[in-house]
Amino acid sequence: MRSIHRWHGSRITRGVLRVWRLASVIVLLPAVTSAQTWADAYKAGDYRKAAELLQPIVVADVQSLSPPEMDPAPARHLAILYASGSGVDGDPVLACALAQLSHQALGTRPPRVEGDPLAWAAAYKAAIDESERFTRGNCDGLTKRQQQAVGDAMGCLAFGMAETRLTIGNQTVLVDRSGFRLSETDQSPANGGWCPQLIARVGSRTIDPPADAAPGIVARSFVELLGWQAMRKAGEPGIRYVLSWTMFELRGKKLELVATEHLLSASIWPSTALPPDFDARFNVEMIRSGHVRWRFAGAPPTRGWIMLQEGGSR
Amino acid sequence: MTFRWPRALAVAAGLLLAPFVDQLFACSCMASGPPCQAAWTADVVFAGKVRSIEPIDGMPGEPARLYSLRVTFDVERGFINPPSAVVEVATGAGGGDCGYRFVAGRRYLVYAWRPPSGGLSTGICSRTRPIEEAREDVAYLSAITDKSSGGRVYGRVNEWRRDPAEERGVDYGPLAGITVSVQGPAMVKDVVTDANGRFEVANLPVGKAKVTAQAPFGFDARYLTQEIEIRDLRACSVHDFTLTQRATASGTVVDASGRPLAGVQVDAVAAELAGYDPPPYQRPATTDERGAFEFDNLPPGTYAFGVNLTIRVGVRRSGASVFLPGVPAARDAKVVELKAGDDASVGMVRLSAR
Repeated sequence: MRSIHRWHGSRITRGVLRVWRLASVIVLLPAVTSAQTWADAYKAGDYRKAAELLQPIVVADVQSLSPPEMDPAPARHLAILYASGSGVDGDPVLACALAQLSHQALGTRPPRVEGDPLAWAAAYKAAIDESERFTRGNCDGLTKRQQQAVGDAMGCLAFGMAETRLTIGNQTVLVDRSGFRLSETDQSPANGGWCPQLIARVGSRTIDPPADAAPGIVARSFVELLGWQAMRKAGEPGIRYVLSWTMFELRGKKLELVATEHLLSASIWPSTALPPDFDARFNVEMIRSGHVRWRFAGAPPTRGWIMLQEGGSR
Repeated sequence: MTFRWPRALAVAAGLLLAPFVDQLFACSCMASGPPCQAAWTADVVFAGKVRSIEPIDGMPGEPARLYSLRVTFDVERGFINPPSAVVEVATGAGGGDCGYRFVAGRRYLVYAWRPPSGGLSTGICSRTRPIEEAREDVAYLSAITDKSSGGRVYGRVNEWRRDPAEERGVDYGPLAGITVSVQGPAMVKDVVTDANGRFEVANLPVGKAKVTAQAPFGFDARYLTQEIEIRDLRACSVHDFTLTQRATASGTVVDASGRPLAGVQVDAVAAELAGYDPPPYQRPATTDERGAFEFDNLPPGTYAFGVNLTIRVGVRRSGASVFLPGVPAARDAKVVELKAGDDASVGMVRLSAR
């Protein structure tokens, strides 16, 4: 080190300072140019707002842009929020996945060379090193199972996907990023091939027969998932967010996908997971024969059936 | 055992009457019913092992045969009109000709008919099946005795219901307490369906009869009579009925000055879909010279009536939507709730300019 400068009690060279400034530019420049609002919220300490604004940016990056073009800053800052539980429920798995996404983006998007190429190369390497340390800091402490979940999260970036256990009938369903699976079977997790970006509701639902049901008709048990999914329609600018509803039915020792439907659509990232009147607009009921009818008072209204399987409950 | 000639299933008979294979496009079967029904509609029933399968060669210039394969069986057990130890049965090669795909060396329970042209034939419209899948059949056939107090008719009555906003009906389950009558030349028997919608009428004489489900108020009473034939005192006949609820609605269409308009197609759409261009789940009604229209078979529900309310398949919309009583917006439309059995007059649709 040729010269020294005071920085948090340590001394760094002028060249290293230049590296640090460049690294800051690499990380924060996109924030300043393309996401002023989340950066403002972040700087102001309004982490909840910052997270709300960062989530769709990261989703848009992951969904619609290839990794070389991805902006590393939003994913990095969102990782910090999920790691610390600032403004969001802490989620170390998601923090690690976001850190990795940010690191990937940085690694595949070298800065433009301006001025001294050697200095810029050094700065870029320093930024990469720093990003790697950041990623390790978020990922190294995870358990093996959590690391596996990070892989699922990288494959399907879903916010609000908490690991949980649901009880339906006398069965326990394990819910995590890989999907649903019964605790007592070795059935592969069921997820319906669906990748929601914002989980609105995960729960069990038991639908009882009506009072006048035919003899032998019994209650039917389901696992239900509601989540917003980012989509891009061909020929339409921007991303649309659709509220997808998926039902898996407990049939014997298996969970089977029985319904999937888009119930709502939004042009902006949904500020609340479900509209306040959602449950009043959504009706699921069993008829006498054991078939289950669902109706959603949307515009237009949608409806459908979850038929009783042949020789099922009857 | 009496010899019955010729007694093929209705569809099979239709197939046998068809002179050329190329006139057939697909095989469509009526249900052959349970063993107690199938055994008495076939001419020969036996268990046997396929010895060989050979094509049936026609003479030059002869039209193609309906059944193109000759299957030779070593008969192991005869049940109905037992054939000789070795028997040939004609069948098709599959692919829409209703032929049964036998495999040489395998054992089958064969339900065969005697076509007018002679010999025996069978196909997928019969209960013919591999012997290992014919336990129920063999059990019944083995238990047949010479004595019986009479034939049986049994079945189930279910309700199908369709919501106005849906294209298809759904099984709503069994209907209990429905009267089912069996009427023959010299007898009438009534039974009532149980909680599972099931009915059974026993001790029926040999001969033709009519089975009728009595529709309660609000249900469509059409198409609820089926003709049956008890061919043997040991035979059964299975018939299921589907009842649907029904309502009717009528009204008129007039122009701005109140004159009736004839030839106008009127739509009835589920009120919840009004304004969203639903498909035509209900067949449109056309006004007569008095401007009157009538829907005589609507499923109960809440409706909006009017003109140009639906997207008709293959037809471009010819004008703007007008809802009862003559308004352009669905939110202003008069909606009508129809209950089962209702015969409602919905009023007048006034078209301002056409």
